[in-house]
Amino acid sequence: MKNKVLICHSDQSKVVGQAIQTVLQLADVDKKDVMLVDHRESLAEFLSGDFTHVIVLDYSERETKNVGGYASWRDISASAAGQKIVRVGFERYEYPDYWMMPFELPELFQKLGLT
Amino acid sequence: MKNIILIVEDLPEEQQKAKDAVMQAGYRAAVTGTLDDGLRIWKLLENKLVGIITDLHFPEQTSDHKDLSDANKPCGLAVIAEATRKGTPVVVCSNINHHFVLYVKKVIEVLGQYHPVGRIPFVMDSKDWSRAVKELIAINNKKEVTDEK
Repeated sequence: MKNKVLICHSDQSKVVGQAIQTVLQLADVDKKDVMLVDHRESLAEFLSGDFTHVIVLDYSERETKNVGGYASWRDISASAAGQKIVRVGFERYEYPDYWMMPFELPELFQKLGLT
Repeated sequence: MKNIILIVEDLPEEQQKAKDAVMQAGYRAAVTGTLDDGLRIWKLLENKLVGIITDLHFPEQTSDHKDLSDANKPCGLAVIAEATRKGTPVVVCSNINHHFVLYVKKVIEVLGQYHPVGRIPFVMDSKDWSRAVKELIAINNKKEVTDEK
């Protein structure tokens, strides 16, 4: 099955998303199969596409939980049907699906199961 | 194109059954377990929603602390009332006898009379998600015919 990746970002983290989009080409994921979407539209986009992987940027449990990365992760996780979901942020959490920035490329591919 | 069904149900095993039933019918499921998230997601997906299938008893908002009294609030009534106000197709899927609150059924019947499709189906006694999905699709089709007229 072809890999399709959704990257959920904020205005501030869009550039990080674009960098990941470029890097994913090293894991044979075509640039056109990587979609960048703002957190406000993330659930709608997730439900309208056939994504195999989701990367949620800006994950934080400190700020308001109804917007941003936390809300994207919670909404998409609850509605997911077997997709691989990784949450990304700057804080330290011990979740196996969490990925703390800054990161190494092999770690990214490993978390996504793309190695 | 409207192809998403919003599921409001707080129990993870029931959420999975609901997702399976929705996907089996050829639709996508947006799932949430609280009233606050349900209303927020509803707003986000409004133009893509076929309708809503809701449980009756679930928490108002996500909490880090499990509070059983919060989980037993009949928050589904708020979803039903909002669906009636907006004219959004809605089906209730709940084991009402388990909660000993038959008065809720009467409230839903009354609200159903004010709903644009004239009724709010209630799948009770057991959580039969496949039946709930079929009921929702049926009233959505009826609503589309009514809207066209």
